Amino acid sequence: MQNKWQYFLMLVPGIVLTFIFCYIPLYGVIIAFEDYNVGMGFASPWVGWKNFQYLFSQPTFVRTIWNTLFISVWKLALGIVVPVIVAIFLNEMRSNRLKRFYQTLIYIPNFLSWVIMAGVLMDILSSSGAINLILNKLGIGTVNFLGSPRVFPWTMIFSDVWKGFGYGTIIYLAALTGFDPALYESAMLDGASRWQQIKRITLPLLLPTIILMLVLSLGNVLNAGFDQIYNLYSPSVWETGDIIDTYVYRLGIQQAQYSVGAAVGLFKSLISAILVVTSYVLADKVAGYRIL
Amino acid sequence: MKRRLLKSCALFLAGASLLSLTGCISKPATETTTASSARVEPPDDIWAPYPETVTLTTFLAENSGTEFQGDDDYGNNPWYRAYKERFNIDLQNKWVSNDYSTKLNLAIADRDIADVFQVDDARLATLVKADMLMDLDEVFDKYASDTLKEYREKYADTWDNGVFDGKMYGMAQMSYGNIDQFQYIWIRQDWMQECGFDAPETMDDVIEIATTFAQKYGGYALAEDQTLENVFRLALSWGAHPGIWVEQEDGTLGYGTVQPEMKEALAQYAQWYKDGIINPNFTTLNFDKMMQGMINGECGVIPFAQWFSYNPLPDILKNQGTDAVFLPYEIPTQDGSPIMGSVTFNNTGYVVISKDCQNPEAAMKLINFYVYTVTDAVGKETNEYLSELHSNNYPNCVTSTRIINPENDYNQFLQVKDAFDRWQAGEDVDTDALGTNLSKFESCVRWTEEKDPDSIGDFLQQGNDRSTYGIAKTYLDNHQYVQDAKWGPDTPTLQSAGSTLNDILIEGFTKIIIGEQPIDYFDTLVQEWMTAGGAQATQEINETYGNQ
Repeated sequence: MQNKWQYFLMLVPGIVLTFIFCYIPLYGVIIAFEDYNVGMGFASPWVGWKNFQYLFSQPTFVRTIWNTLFISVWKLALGIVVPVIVAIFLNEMRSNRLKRFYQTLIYIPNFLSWVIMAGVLMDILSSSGAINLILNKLGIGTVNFLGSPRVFPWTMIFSDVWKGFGYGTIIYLAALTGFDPALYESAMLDGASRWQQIKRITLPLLLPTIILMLVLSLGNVLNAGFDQIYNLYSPSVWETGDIIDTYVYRLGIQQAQYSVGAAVGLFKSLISAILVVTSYVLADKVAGYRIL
Repeated sequence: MKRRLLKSCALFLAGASLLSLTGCISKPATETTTASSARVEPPDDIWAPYPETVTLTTFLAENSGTEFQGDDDYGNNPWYRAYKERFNIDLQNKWVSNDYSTKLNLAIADRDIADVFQVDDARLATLVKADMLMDLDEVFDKYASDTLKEYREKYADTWDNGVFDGKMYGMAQMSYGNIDQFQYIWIRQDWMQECGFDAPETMDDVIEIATTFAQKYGGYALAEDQTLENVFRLALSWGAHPGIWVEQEDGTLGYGTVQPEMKEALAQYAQWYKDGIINPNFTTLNFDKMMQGMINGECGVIPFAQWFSYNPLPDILKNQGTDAVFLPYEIPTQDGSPIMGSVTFNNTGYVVISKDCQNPEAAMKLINFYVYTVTDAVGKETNEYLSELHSNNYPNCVTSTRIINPENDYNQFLQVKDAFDRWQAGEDVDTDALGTNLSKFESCVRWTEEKDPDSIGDFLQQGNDRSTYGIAKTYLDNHQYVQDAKWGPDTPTLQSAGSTLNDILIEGFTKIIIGEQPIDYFDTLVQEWMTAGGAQATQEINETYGNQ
């Protein structure tokens, strides 16, 4: 312990910053229970649960909870499955140069911001865009990717997975390259096929990493991707595409309803906190994963 | 050992970079905090300068339209210099921001407000409730100029919105007048001539022109975006008045957007969408994207407001050539009766003075001066002097110390049109008499002589025979408009839920137009709107604004 004081020193800025920017502002939560007036500040009139009652009486808010869960659970699931599969495929590749080429290629979209990406997607996915041209040639007909309430959530899920899977792939690939080659060699001696090697060696060894990624992302389940959806949605898809964050943005920022906005924020934090604790307990029980 | 040393070095570096990061975060914002000066006794004559310099602070919204000349900026421009020279008042910007309302909220929360600044209805109420504003009655009585007092009497219904419990806390800044509120159908002229069309007289004519354009030049017939603003503009043709509160048959007030006329307009729009007349991608387009399409020449017909000739028309001309002029046409009604426009409560904001301001009459002097330059100064001041103050959008630098004359644009149009007609007939034009309107006249001349795309805005607003203000003047003179029954700020429900309520309608209307829902869904939607707070809003509106 005495030799590790440097590590503790390194923690100090983080702790101080967290305290200043995360714990002190917690006091502001009381806005959610007030009829907040900027001029009066925290001394605004107390209204109790009124803001929450208002929120849950709004059908347009209740549906955003479902939309958020739907979109983000699918993003979460595919966001793990796709990178794992791609990472295993890349790992099986013989040519190192090709492997690195593909790795870079799929990683590139990750660096573009959604503001830019939204512009690109709108062009590609429009009724006269590239994808619809191909679909028309194939005889499938025009799909209104961004305007139809039925299709829109899937457009969000797949475009998000497409944009982000390069990042996940790199993490799993890093884990894969660290596996002991002796395991594979002995398996091969015993006559195991490629598929058996993947099933019996690669996947079990990857499991802790997968669970770690899952636990880390579970706390974000109520964040279904504000910048993506805000830049791509429109009134015609609010029914299925309006998520908690976009709703709060319209209500809290554009309309300056700070109290109601704070109420949603508090609600979201509570649910997220429960989710994080649950997933941590689950990870411990199911996979024996613990942080400390 | 060596390795360990390296490691701790690396750790230290990492820690240091974190620390410097925090340094970045806490870096003070680059704004000059200025203190307003102590009380200085003002001279008796309201037009006379102070014996010693008085410093007055203000907040300012950035305005991209202002074209600063030379070394000018927001803190040093013809207005600020005139304030110093005429009244010995040093007006200082506490901050200039491109996100005025957020920044103002922060300033209010910090209780760090300027001496004089501009607020909207909601923040005026907030500030009054928080007891941060000065009661202006006394200083107004004593120091407002006669013209300003006339404004207050003449437009009392608007000024009354700045009065709380019998005390005036905000001075209504008014607007450039109702002449700029009307809607038009803009049609591209080079295509219209090529196809040999005359001015449209019915909506069918408009659609024929639009569809012919789309067939011949590609793109789509009618421009639209996800806000449905253009639907609402064209809905006037069916006698609907979306967005304003109107008197219904039974004498009570109702919201124009949920009236039966709107349903008829939507039914037609749904048919148009089905027939491929409206841009099929409109649900994904925001305003900028829609206008980008116009600039790229994808469409030749768009229902829009008068400022289409300022934005994006100059960009269309730069991209498509100067023949691609769009002209404004009257919106035809379904039954051929005269069209009725919508006129809303139109007030730019309120000038308020901080309770702690030591020299409130200084602010009054500056406002008097603004009013003087637009009303009484012609003939008393040189033309160069006035036009320096009013050209290059410099009036946008004094948003907190101006009160606009609501007849400004109407009178301006009369003057400019008259001067331009005489110029076209080859007669002499007395440019001195034009005063602050000189630059609009010059733009009209510049478009006629040089086809300068940047001057098309003024030309189509005022100079051209078919101009937006020309059409609007007819509407105003013939009283062809319905005035918003809500002649003042929003009622509580509208303040808290107004845009949520509108969202419900916009979402539902979009579904009707794209065929997700049948037209009768309109009735279901109106019921939903009522339950979500529309009924309460209607009741409040009737209580506050009904029977007037």
